Amino acid sequence: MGKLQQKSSLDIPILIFIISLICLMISFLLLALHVHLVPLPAWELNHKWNRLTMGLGEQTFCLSSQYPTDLYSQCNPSFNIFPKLQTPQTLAFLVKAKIRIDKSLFLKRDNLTLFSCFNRRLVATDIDSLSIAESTYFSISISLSSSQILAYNIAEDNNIDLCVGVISTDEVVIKHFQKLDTNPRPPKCELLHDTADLLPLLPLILHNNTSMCEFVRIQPIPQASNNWELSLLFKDAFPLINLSLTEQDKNYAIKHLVMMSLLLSLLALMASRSIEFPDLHPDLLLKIFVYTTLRDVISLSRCCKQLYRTCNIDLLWKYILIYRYNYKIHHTHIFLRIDFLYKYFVLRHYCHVYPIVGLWLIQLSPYNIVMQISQSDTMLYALKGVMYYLDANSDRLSNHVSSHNIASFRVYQCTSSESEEGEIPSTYEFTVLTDEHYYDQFKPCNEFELHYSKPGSGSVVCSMNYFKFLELVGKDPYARERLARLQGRKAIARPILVSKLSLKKYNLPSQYILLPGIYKGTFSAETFQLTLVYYHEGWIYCKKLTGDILIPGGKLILKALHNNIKLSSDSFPLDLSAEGNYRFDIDLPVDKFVACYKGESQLALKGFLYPNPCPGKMYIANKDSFVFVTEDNWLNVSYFTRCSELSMLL
Amino acid sequence: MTEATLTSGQIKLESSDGETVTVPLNVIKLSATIKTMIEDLGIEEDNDDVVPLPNVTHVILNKVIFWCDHHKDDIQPSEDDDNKEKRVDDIDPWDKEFLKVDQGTLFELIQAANYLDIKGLLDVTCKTVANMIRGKTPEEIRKTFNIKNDFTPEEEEQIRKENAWCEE
Repeated sequence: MGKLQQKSSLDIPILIFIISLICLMISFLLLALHVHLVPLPAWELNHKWNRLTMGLGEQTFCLSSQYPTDLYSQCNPSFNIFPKLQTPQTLAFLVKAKIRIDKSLFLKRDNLTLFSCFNRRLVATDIDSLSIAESTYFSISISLSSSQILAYNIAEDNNIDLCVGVISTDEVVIKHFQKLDTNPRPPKCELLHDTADLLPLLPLILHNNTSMCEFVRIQPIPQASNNWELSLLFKDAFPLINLSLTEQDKNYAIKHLVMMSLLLSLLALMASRSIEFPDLHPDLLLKIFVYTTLRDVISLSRCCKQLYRTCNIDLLWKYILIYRYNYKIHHTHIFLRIDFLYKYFVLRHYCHVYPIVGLWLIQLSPYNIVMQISQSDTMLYALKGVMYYLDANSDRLSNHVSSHNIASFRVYQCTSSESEEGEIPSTYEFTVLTDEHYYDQFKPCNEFELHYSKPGSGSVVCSMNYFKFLELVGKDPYARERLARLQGRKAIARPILVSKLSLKKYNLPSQYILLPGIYKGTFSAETFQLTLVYYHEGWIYCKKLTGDILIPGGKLILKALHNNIKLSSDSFPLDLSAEGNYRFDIDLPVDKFVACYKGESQLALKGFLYPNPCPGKMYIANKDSFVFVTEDNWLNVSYFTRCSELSMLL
Repeated sequence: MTEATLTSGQIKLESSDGETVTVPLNVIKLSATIKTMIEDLGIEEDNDDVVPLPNVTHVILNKVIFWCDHHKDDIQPSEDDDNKEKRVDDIDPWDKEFLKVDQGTLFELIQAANYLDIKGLLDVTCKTVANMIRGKTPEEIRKTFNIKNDFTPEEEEQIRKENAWCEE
């Protein structure tokens, strides 16, 4: 309206100019709407994380405005080398740089490397000619044409280091580098009001204080037809940059500017949004959780997906363990294969709750299986487990058994059928997929069922098709032979209530070599067993977790006075190299024992009849293995090694 | 940087939105981040150096400074206080009044306290949020924090089962 009223008072050249500008605007609009726009990268704005995820070809980049130091790349492992960007400014530049589909550019501030993405390949170009030391702002600008990039560094003296690069098909070549003297500075804001001859084409709404260009205008250069000038106006004190463009460049720039403004407004939107509770960084949530009960954490995890993920970060539970319970995590406890380990550790150990996830002993004669079920966050219902297969019938502890008795499996598609209300058990039917470690591919094994009764009461019935089970167990050469015996049997499983065996009530001696924990091995080379090793009042005790026909689980079978006997070189009574001497396939560390303790082991007849202590010596090989030899029968050798992953649950 | 300047000098802080605030050093010394910065960089008294705080807006910065000013003479908690049992009912009445703000501000204060490493402020803000959570059902928490439930009924049921042992 204002323009129309002014028309009459304006002279003709200005009128023509304005009309041409209007035409130009329309043509821009047409350009924006109808001309082939460079497709906008697929993007997704995640309000919960203040994160903008952008698809770029087959890659997805992820950036967060709340934590600008974290720039993640996702989806494509080859992009794990993405540098961490340092400044909030860079963030925006990254968005700007992403207006190209196959070629994305962004800068790493510390050493001024320009990273470019070409055809899903990351190329780094050093721009060392720009000195960043005294710079206050650094930016990489839009692609001005299909092949140009512009980077500028605004030094403290407000001079601009300008760098123009050319993108060729698969690399960036830095073409020009120059210093611009920017004095005198353009008057601030005045240009914006004096728009009669300067058309602010696309005002860019920017995240405050990112100090990028606020206004961009494109205007024809009067003396040169078909040549255009692009000006970038920076916030406040920053100067105007003019660049001349060809017609083609101009069109390209406009296309990009449309997208640029869109993306930048998105960024501004993100930045201006106030924080909400789920947005808080997990680190900060943890600090809050320190003051809540664990039940509150569980309640929080049920609020929304975001909080569910946050509340189940294993690291968080690890911190809860450390900060809340002052638990000293021994470095050997770290066992990364199990998700949610710490969560369940905390719940079992301190809250005395026994979710289905945990350690289970399945007595499936002649097999004992210790199954550890933990939960994976990749699928809501997915369970992941490690199966310890203890073959009670194996007459020797061979390399074969010790290396293959652990099968890991994944359980997917967990369905549950719940009976009448209040009346648990529910039946969980799992599809068991054996680990690729044993098979080239996961093989579905749909016969594994786990019924469990009221949580915490501790009884479980486990059944499975034994043929499938044997497949699961792996490369046991005896498996086929035993198949017939196993067919059709039912197994009883009960949870190993590790908390009842808690080591916490036993004080560790000030100095010790052998770590307490769960050990696996043989007694008298007869059966493969799990035992709990702990220290109590100057003794080392060894309590059976799994039972056999002679000594049931839960009984003490070894104890040794924690008082070192000096070892002489010939102290180990067995010569294992002698012919016929012992059935170990494994190498006992006979020449490497570091300590020896006097003790006794418990022997009994079938059914725990006439239990009888038998003196012997415990030889400590290292912090997690030992050998026990009884005195009256040197062939009665027990060899145990520590299962660090099981001991973690203590 | 000597102890003397730490108690008498001033420093300029620039918030993310460009506002510059001059703060006495004995107030802002509660921020371990700034204290370290001053000590390491050796910013001299009455220098024109401005410390940029790109993660803190001026509204929040002013609140933080206000808090620091009130607490500048507090006895610094010793390190082994970490092992003390975590209590939530010991919030200072002044702090309680100070933290009667909207949730967005409260969370920003947490972030700022974390970034500036002001232990006392972080503790008290975290306690305040913890008190908003304690003993509530998921539905009540959602209501408190205006969280949208984005689980499908099936997922919700699954998570309920997953945590069934927590509901006695």
